[in-house]
Amino acid sequence: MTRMQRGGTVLFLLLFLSLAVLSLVLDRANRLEPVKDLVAQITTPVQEALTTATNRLTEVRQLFIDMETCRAQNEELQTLLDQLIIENVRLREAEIENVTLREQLNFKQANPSFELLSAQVIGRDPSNLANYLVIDRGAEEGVGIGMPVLTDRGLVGRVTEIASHASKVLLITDPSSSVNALVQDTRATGVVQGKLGQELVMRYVQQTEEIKPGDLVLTSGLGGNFPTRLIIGQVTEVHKTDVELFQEAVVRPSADFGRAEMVMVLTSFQPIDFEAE
Amino acid sequence: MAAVALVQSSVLFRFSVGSARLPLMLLVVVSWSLLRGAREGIVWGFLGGLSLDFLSGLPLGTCALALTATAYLSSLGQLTIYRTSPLFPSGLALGASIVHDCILMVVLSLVGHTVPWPQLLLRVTVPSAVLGSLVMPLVHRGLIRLHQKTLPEEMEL
Repeated sequence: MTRMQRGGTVLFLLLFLSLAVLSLVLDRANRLEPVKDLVAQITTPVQEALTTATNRLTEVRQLFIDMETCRAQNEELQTLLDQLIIENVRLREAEIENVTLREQLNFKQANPSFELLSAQVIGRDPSNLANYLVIDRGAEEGVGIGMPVLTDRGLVGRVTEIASHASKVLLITDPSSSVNALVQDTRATGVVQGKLGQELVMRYVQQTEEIKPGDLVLTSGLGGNFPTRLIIGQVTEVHKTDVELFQEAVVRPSADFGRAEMVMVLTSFQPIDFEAE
Repeated sequence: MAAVALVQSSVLFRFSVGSARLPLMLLVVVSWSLLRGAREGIVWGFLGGLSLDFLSGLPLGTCALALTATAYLSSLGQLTIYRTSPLFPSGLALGASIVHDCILMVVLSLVGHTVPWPQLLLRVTVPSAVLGSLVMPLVHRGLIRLHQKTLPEEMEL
């Protein structure tokens, strides 16, 4: 580029810069309003059309973005829902456990002389022929053979086998189980034995004794296998015939064996083993 | 130039990336100045700036002044040895954007507008300059074609 050309270009630049400055000055003096109005009249429809077209384009684009956002949100919410379901289950379990433990605590407070060890039911007899529970406490925790097992509602059974951290509990509903019992009101004594079908029967009750449905049946403590005054259940039926030597009563157990999840082992009670002595 | 101004005012602001907006007119003027030299660049800059002025709320002549000056400065890029580098237009667009906005802000300050320099530079000018430099290769390629089509045919002697 020659010096002359460069000079010409600078002049050209100065000319246009001057024009721009002139426009600025005239605009500041409001002398260009008619021109601006005219330009606005021409450009406004075009701008409107462009804006409308762009709006539609933006809406379509937004629709796709929204769909993608919805999908992402849906996935997030599904994950959250799964977490909440799990948390809800955990909380409900904790609530149930809390209720059970509170009932056990109440029972403990009502029986301050009892030393009770809480245990969780970790298994049940699979054969359906014998009524056993397996609990998660054993010899290491101070559980011994023959110790009574109860819930806050009443007697459940007694420990028959122990491992270091587990024990087997023979339920009072098992046909091989016998518990010396008495009727609370009349003090009539008998033996409560298990019967198929989660029921109990109280045998060897003297014909002269008065028993009626609704009577409470407690452990008598005779024989030294169980402590006294543990609730066994409630009399539902009485079978009394003149030809029989004894009368019998059907007893509904107070403890719910089917649903028991937490039980207590009465560790302060040592059963008397007459055979050993 | 009017079409570019209309697109910039009506369409491009919807496709902004954060606070960065594509300075399409600036890119066109810079690219054309690089291809055709100072005189054509100055004319394009003035007309493009004036078009923007009519569509913007700024005082008439503000953009024209800034774009005319920027076009001249961009045309100086023709004189460097780096002008054949494929990255040169992008680098030039980056620098031109910043210079253009600085001129604009100076003019606005002179005519009495309140101009928050640091915020505008950091939040608007620099991001827009970066965006512009990224898009510049496309704009420049398009204008090269236009440049080749509109070149006066060589006369046979």
